[in-house]
Amino acid sequence: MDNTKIGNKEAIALLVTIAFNHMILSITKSIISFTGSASLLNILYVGVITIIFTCMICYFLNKFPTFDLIDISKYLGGNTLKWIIGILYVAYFIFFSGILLHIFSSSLQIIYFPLTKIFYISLFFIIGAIIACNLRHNSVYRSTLIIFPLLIISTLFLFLSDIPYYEVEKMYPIFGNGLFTTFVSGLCNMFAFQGLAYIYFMPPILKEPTKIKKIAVTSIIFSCIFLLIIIAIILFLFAGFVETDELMPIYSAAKYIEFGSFFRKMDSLFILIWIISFVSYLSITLKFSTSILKKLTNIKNSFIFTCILGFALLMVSIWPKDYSVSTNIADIVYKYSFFILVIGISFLVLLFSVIKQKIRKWFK
Amino acid sequence: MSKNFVKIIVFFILIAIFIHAFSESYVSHSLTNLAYVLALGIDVGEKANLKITAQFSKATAFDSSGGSSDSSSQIVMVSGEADSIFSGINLLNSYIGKELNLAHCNVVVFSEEFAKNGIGTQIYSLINNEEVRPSTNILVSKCSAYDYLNNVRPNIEKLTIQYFDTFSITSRLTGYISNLTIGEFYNNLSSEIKAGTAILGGLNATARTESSESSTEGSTENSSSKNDSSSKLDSQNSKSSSESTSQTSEPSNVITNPEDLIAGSSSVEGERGTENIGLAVFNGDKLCGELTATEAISHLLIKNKVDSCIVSIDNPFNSSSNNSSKVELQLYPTKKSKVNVNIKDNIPHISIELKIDADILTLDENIDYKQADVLETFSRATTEYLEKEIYDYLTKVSKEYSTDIDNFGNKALAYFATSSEWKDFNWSEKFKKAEFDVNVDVTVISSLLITKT
Repeated sequence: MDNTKIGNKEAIALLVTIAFNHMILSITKSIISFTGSASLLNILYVGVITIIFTCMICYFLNKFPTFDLIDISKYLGGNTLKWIIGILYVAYFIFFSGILLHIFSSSLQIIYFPLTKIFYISLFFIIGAIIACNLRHNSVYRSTLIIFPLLIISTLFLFLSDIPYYEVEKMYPIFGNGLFTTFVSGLCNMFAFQGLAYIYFMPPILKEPTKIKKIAVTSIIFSCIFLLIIIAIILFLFAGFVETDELMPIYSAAKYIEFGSFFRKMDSLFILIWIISFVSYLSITLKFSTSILKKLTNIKNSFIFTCILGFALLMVSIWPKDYSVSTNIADIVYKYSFFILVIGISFLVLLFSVIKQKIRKWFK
Repeated sequence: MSKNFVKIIVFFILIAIFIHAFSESYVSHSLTNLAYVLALGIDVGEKANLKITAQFSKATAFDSSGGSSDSSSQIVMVSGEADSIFSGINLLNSYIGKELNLAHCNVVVFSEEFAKNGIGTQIYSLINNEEVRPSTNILVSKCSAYDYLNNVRPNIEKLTIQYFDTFSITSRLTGYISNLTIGEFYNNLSSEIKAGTAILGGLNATARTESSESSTEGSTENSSSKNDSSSKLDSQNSKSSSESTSQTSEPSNVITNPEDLIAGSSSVEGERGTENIGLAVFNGDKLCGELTATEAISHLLIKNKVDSCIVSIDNPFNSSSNNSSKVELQLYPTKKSKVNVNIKDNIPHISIELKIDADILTLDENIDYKQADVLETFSRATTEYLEKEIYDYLTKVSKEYSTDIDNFGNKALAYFATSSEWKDFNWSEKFKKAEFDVNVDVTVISSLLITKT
C-alpha cells in the first residue's frame, strides 16, 4: 500500500485549508473594499465562473493522468519551459506565503506578543512548518483532514454567535460600486480561490488522479461557501468597512462573541485554531515548493530544499518595512500575479500541451 | 548517534532562542505587572486636552471572606491630565507602577461637556486598542466623568463591575436606558449614517445634595487652609464637584414624570450616587441632545431592544375631571417592530408598526376589568398614548437633532442600486424632512390578579 498518496477527502481538505488561510488574512478585506455591498453577489458570480474554469483545467489535466504542471511543461517545451514554470511557481508560493506570514505574525504581535520581534514569531511558524514538512508518509497532507472540521465548526460558530449584531440590510445597495465593478472588474476576485494554483500539482499525490475534477470542484464549492460566510460576517457586522480598515476583520468579529458575563474573550480560541490552520498552510506550501524543486533538479534529498525554502520564506516575511507594504502586495501584486501565472500562463501551458498531444495523435 | 546529538543540540538552541524572544511579552502580560481598569472616565482637562480617570477594585474586594464592608473603600480612583487617552494612561502607569489594562474595562464614561466637542478620536483610539472589548458600555454623564465614577459605589452588588453588568438587564426590563456599547458606537460612527447613542448617566438626589453641600463647605475650607498641601486634592475634587453641580439640576428641581425624566434629575436617593436614565444622542461624534425616559422607551421599542417596560397613561375612565389620575401598564412587545421606508418625491416616508400586549398594573375603584369594552378602552388609550409619544420622539430626532439613531437609512438602502446613487441621495439631509406614520396595536390582556374592584 502506497502511504504517500492521499485520498479524495484529504485532497479537498488540503485545497480548502489553503483558500481559508488567504480568506482570514487578506482576501476578504480586499474583496469588500473593491465591491462593497455587492461582495456577496460578486462572490456567487465569481464562484460560478471559477467552477467553470476549474472544470476546464481538470479536463486538460485528465489528458495527462498522474502528470502535474511541471511534467506537462516538460512535455510541451522541454527542460527550459519546465524550469521556467517551476521557478515561477516556487517564487509565487514562497513570496506570497511569506507576505501572508508577515501579516499573520504582525497580527499576533499586536494581539499577544507586543515585545517580541516579528522575526521570532515568523521563525516559530517556519520551524513548525519545516518539521511538519519532513514527517514521513506525506503526513502534512493528511493532517489537514483533522484541522478541516475545526475550521468548519469555528467559522459556523463565529457566524451564528455574531447574529445578534447583524444588520442584513447592509448587503444593499445590491450592486455596490456599480454593475461594471461587480461583474466585470470584479472578476479579479477569482484570486480568492487560491486552491486553483495548487490543483495543477495535485495529480501525482492523489490515490485516484482521475477524480481530480470531483476533488477540485468540491473544494471550490467549499471555498465559496467559506468565503460567503466570512464576507457576510464582516459585511453585516461592520457598518463602515470601506471607510475604516481592520488588521484582521474576522478577528475583530470574533471579539464580539460573548455569552453572558462568563464566556468572554473567545477570540483566543479562534486565534489558536487559525494558528494551527496557518502552520498547516505553510507546511503544504513548503511541501509543494520542495516537490517542484526536487522535480527540477532530480535531487532526492528534500530536507535541504525545505530548509532553503524555509529560510527564503523567513526572509520574505521580515522584508516588508511596514504594514502598508505587505497589504499592498497581498491586495494588488498578488492579484495580478495570480491572473498572470495561475489563470494565464498555466492555462495556456495546459491548452497547448493538449493541442500538441492531439497533433501527435493525428500524425500517428 | 552523532545525528541525534546534533538534533538535540539544535532543539535546545531553538528552545533558548524562543525563551529569550517570547519571555518579554509574557512578562509584560503577567498579572503582577497589570492593573485592571474597571471603568474609564474622560473629562475636559484644565491644563491639557483631557482628564483621564481610571477606576479599579482593591484585591480585597474579590475576597468573599474578608475585606471592608464599606463599599467605597473597595474602589481606587486615579486621574490625571494629558493630551490624549494613551498618554494619559501612560501617566497613570507611571504613578501606579503597573500597566493599566483595559481588558476588563466595562464602561467608558464621557462627561457631557467633553462629548459636545466630539469623541471620535477617543472612540477610534479605544477600538484600536486590542484590550478594549467591543461590548464595553459607553456612557455620557451629566456630571463630570470623575464624579460619576467616584459615586459608583456598589450597594446591592459586592463589586462595581457587577453593577456595570446590570446595564443590559436594566435596559431590557425598564427601557429607560439602552445597553449601548463602544463597538456599536464605532460601527455607527464609521457608517454613512453617522448617528450614535450612549447611555445617559448622572448623580442621584443623594449625591447631588452631598456635592452641593461639599462645594459650599469646600469653598469655605479652601479660603481658610490655602497653604495646606494635603487639602489640595480635596479642593480639586470639590471643584470638579461644584462644576458638576452646576451642570446637573439642583436637588430641589427633581423631575418625576417619565416624559421629562433624564439622568441627574430624578428623585432617587440611595447609597450608590449614580443613576442612568435616558439616552445621549450624537450627530457624528458630537453630542447633540438627550432623550428622556419615555423617548428612550420609544427608541428601544422601534429597535426591538426591550422585553418589557412600564408606561403611565391618563386614566380613560377619569378623563373628565381636571386632575385626571394615571394608570400604569406593563408593556410586552409581542412581535418585532416592522419598519418600512418608502421614498416618494425625494422624501423618506417611514412607517412603523408595533404589536404590543399590556397588563394593567394600577387599578381604579368600581371597574370590572373582565369586561371586553373596559379592556378595549384601555387598549385604545394606550395605543393613542404610544403613537403620540413615538411620533413626538421621531419628530424630535429627525427635525431637532437631524440624526438617524434608529438606522432607518439601512432600510432605505434597498431602494438604491449602487453606492454612488445612495451617496448622491444624501440621506442625512433628507432624513430631516422625513415623514412618519406610526401604527401601534396594543392589546390589553388583563389586570393581573384582581379582575374587579
